[in-house]
Amino acid sequence: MKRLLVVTLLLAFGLLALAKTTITVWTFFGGGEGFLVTELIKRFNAENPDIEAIEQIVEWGQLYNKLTTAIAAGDPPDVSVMHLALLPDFASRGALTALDKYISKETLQDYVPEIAAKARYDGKLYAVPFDIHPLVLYYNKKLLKEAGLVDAKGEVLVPKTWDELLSYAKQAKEKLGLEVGISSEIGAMMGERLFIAYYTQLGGQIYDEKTKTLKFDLEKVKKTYDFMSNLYTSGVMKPMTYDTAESLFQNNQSPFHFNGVWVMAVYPTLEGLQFGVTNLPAIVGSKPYTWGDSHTWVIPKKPKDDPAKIAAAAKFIECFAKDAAEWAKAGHLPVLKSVLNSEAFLRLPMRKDYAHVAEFVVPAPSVKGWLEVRTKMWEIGEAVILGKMTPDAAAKELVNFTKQVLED
Amino acid sequence: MAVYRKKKHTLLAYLFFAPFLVLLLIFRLIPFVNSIRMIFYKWDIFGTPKYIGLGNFTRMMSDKVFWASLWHTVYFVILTVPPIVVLSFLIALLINSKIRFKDFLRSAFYLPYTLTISVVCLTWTMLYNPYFGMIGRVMKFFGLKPISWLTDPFWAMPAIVITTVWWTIGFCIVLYLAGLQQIPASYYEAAELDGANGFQKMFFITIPLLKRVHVLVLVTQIIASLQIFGQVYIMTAGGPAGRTRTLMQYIYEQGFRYFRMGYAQAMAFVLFLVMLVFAYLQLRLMIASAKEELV
Repeated sequence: MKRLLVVTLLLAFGLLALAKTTITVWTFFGGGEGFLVTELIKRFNAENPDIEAIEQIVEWGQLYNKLTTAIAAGDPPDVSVMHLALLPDFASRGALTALDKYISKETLQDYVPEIAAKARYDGKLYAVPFDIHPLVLYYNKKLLKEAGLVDAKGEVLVPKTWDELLSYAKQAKEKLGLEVGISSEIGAMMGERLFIAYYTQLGGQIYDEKTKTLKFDLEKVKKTYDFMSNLYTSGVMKPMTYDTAESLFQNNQSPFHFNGVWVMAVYPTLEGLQFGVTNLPAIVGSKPYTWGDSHTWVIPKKPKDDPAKIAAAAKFIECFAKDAAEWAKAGHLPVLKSVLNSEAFLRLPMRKDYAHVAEFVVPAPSVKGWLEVRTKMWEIGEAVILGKMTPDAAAKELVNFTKQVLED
Repeated sequence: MAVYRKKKHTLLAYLFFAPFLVLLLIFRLIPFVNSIRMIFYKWDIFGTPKYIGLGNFTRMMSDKVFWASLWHTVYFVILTVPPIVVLSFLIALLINSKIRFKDFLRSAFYLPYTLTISVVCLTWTMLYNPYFGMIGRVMKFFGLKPISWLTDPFWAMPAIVITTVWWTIGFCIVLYLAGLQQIPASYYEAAELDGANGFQKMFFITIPLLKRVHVLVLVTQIIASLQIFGQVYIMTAGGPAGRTRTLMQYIYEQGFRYFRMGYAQAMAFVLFLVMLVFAYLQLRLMIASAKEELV
């Protein structure tokens, strides 16, 4: 009897030792991105028998609310996805675990430097980025050909400057009797993303190195809003939602289209859509700087650290980041130099046309409060586009609001 | 003996209430008291709350966006409640009359109410697409210029109102139908004998006898509309240029997006007071009409 007890106990302990470390992973990916993430997690589990990563899909618009309340309640997931632009707002409030100890030097050195810098807050590493998704320019080859916008060889003309883009867009719109020359969402796409691209091309900075904080250049902000306002008053663009903008481009009703690279998971699969993708146009004399954000993995802070879980989570995060060539199928650009230059990545359709955009990406500034400022930018941008605010008043509003947020 | 039995009954009654009361206490009352406490604090949800007295309220006074959001909420109520009350009454009359396809109509009008908010909003978002949506195409057919509903500073709010009316009207129709069916047919017969015409029957029998239903529909719709959130959150996120940002949307933004839990709770408290006024009004009106009926 006694022997049986000993054997049972030994067996029980043996099983415990063999037991896997399970980690929960929150993601918000759907569609093509969703399938890829699930596949990559499956692959990780197969290659690491001692760890089991369990994916929990949270609705895109809800993840940050749920993460916030879960951290506050002391019961967050072991790993969560987070946009790089949101990192300062969470890291500054002590909601994330510092990762310096857990991620290998080789991986960190392989990062595109600007992105690696933004994964830190106050000198500590809080996130492991696994892609970068810039704003790019899409063009409809069929429409441009019909509008006669081709060179001597019959290849469509790809605009290199804003003036070229506007004149091509206008010509195509008028010749083909289209609703718009360029389609885009008015909120985030114009107010934040295009704004940052154009403002940076003007030589504007968002982050002030001296004061280590957010700072806009009033004059350049005004010029940017002037430019945005002209796009609409000239009739080249019309105010519309994200879905409407996409439906126009996908149905051959819009020669040009501003959007992020994430649509590359879908657009190449659409029948009847012959399109091209390239960097945003540039102001003459400037590089084609553009807005870009990154998806990253973070380890939310728990009331008590569990070293085994953190180590397992860190291993998962690092493996995932290295699998970036696979993830890049979703359209995003890799952030590891080795992957960005790899055959596996460049073989993917049309990636050669926009892989170089990675060099011109302006990531969000690492400042607490950016989240609120950028949302205000969507709103002010809309007011300018809809003619409810003059570029002058809008510039002042943005500068004042930024000050207010920083003082709060 | 009688007293003893009464006591025993009360005890038993509370015992039956207990499961509900415990849940009510944990999930409603304690959070409620806590949230009232938080209106005096600055709290970013992760850290320790800091007492700031009436700081959240002075902030509110000078916060332009708060006042704009409050106005947008009132504007939404003004646009939504009258059509719901009038249309639900008229549709209930129609369904209650001797027409064909009554059952079909009743189900057809009630059906939207059974849908979840996200399904309703996504469907309407597609309908509102100016170039490919149904509404835009119908307008184009009649030679009208399509409206970009959800990004137009004037039309965005009416677009949300139309969606809301379509979604929630079924419930009010059911309330009116129940009310209509309670009016004894003999009243109408008597009126007819006295030579009353349709207009008189409507204004001297139907409408006055439905007084309690009018109050119920009116007040519950005002209270529900004051809390408008989901439609705005999904369809416009408060845009364009903040034109559809309602108080609930602003509370959500401040609390969950910008980590100002105390401020959000202070604003929620103001909304709570406004709703309390209407709830009290409803209670008074209901009691008054109940007394009237007793007389």
